[in-house]
Amino acid sequence: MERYKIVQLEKENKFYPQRLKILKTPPKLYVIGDYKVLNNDSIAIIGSRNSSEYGRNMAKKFSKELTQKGLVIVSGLAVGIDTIAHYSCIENGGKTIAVLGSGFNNIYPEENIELYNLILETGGAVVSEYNPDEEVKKSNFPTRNRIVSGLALGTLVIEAGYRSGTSITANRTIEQGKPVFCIPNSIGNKNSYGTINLVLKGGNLVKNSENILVKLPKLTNIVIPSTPKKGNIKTQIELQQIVRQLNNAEQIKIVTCIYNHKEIDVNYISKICEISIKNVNSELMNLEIQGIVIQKSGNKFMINT
Amino acid sequence: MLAKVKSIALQGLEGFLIDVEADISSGIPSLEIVGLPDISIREAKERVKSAIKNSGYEFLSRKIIINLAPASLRKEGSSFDLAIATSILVAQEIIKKVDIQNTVFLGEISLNGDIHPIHGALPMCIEAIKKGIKNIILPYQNAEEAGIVKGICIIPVKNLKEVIKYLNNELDIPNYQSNTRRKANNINDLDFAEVKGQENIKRALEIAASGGHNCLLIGTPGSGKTMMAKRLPTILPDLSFEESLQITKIHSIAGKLEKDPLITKRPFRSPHHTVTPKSLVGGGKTPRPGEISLSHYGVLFLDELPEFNKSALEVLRGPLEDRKITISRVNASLTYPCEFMLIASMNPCPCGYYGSDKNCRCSPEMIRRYINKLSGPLLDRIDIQVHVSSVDYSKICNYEKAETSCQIKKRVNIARDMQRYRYKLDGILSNSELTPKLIEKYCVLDAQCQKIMENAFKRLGLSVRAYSRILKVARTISDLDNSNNIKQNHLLEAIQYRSLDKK
Repeated sequence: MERYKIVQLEKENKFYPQRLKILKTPPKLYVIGDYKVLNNDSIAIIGSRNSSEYGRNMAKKFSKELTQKGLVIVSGLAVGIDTIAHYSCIENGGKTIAVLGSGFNNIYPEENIELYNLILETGGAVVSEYNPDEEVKKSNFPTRNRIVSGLALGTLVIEAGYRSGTSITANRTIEQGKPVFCIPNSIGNKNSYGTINLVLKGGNLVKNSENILVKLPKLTNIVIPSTPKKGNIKTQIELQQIVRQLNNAEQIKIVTCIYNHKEIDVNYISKICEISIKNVNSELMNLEIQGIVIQKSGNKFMINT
Repeated sequence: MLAKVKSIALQGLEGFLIDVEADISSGIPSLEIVGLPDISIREAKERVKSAIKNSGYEFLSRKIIINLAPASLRKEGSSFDLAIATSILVAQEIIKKVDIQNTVFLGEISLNGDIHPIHGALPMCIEAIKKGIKNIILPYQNAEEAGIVKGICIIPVKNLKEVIKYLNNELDIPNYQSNTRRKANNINDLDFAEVKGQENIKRALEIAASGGHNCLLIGTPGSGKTMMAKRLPTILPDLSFEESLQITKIHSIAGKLEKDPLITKRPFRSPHHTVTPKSLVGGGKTPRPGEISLSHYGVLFLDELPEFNKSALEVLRGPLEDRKITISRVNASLTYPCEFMLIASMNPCPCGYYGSDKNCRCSPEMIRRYINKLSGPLLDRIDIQVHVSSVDYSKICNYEKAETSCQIKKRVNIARDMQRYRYKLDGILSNSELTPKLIEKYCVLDAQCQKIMENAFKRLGLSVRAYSRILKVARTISDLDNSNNIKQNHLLEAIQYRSLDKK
């Protein structure tokens, strides 16, 4: 933590985020990391802490696509959707901004300290309006939401329950005269209560990142994502690269099979490759240790990306 | 007039010879039973009185005292009725001559003189033989059960009149010869061939059966967890006669014996998740065996493990390690054996569909809380944890005939033999019982394997407690492979069976 200095930005400071100036408060902003990022084109991705699998998948997808378009992702470092949005941005070489509801010496939730450090390491920034020793207070979180929406050009709501913090942020966005984007979900779902209401209030229903980009003002200050360490879109060439690392025929068969099916159950691997289940099990573990495949929940395996 | 006959009392699995003494003296007519009897024995005086009268004999109007010796031992149950009645009849000299040293009387009497069956006839017989008894007179419904053991003359009786006539040599009751000779009961209605697909679970259960490992199946509703667990006993090795006897004894005490006199199939017990700690481990004023003892040498299946009461699960920790349970209650402190295999099943999350094709509605927090219901020490005792995948309906029909239980059992038997041979000096039977010291001796990893282990721990974030579990399972896998050493592929496969330990 000592590696990064806490910078105080007063409203008069030329680096104070332009978009925040229209708000009355805060008069002073504490920033760790690269404060110049605050003025880049950015979008907020927010959502429920009690997210569903669908929500998490969508957060991952949209965060990735928007990062690739050069947007900085702003979120609140909370568990659930926020975490996914931050991680997905970083994984795709982008920069991300986290807005805290507490001081820098009291990161909340604690399990996201790892993510906090990662944000700083990858050139992102962490912002708080509270002085570093401010304790974690429940009442501070809704207020910080106006900064989340304030920093961004618009807000993408993944999932929001009834009376959620997410809805507060979205309402701030509308008040600030910025576009709100919502992704569809079924009416009965408790996590879609907020998003549907937002659409009724004039939010934009979106199905892909293009829908979002057309509604945003012209991007002038984008961040070009660095090439991530590992590629995301596996091509045939990459399969061959993986296969080259392998040294026995059974492993090659298994990897090819997993590659072709994207995500496949261990029993089907055994059946399709015609390899006994005990050998499939031990070879899969071998591949997993080497970091070539990963086990998803259940018995499903996929290529590690 | 004083008379003395013998009976047997059970304390757990141990039997004690009881002298039933009757003394008839002049005085105010009464019948008194002394010697720490429980209520059911005290009530015997009414039954005995009526039974003697209704069998056509006179019940003397004298002061009668019955003593159950040794008087310091608490006795319970209705099995003393026959001995009490006989002692009175001997004292009254209605029965002329009894070979008291060598005869044991067991049975409950009804008012009309009929003799009713009792609990625990088999263990009583076994104990009688141990004490050098030659004859045993018992209810004819219990004859088949008692007939399993040899070396004792079994005289089955239907009513009190028969007993009197037999003892007076007026009636000849042939020594009961069991005609159901013991035959290995290999006919199972269940078979692994009926399970379509799920090869990885079958493999995991084969390993579990070979090494006696406890096993946890994690899967979505309807994926076949229960179906497969029920078939596990069909691939466990056949019971030896001594094992069968031991199981039958426990079931006899619990009064759970059914038609078959001798249990030749491994028991499969699956208590409901509302089970209390006491019914799980055993209890009662005089402790009776609980589910874990009833599944001795068999399988204890706990379906929906996280739904079980936490206190019920935690009581399993001791018995899983010690393989026996000592229960102390008011009347006695008893030890029952409980060498069972624990098979448990659970859903991956509260809604049940995490990781399947259906959408899971649970938040990560809910899933974490659900899995945290199982304590670390309990999971620590479960060697194998595997995920069960849900099967597509369309695929069910396409599977060719799978391996039968018989075929799997053959491999299991070979692996068990290897273990028995290897551990003959160490006093254990299977890999699951390996102690840390023995693991060091028998589960040696070569340099390459150690490298794999190191990488696996780094890569998968395995917990430390997984280490010895993996070694034990790897040992079993190499036994199944007929190999003396743990090879790389054995170790790798063993690591695969630690789903819950992965980050």
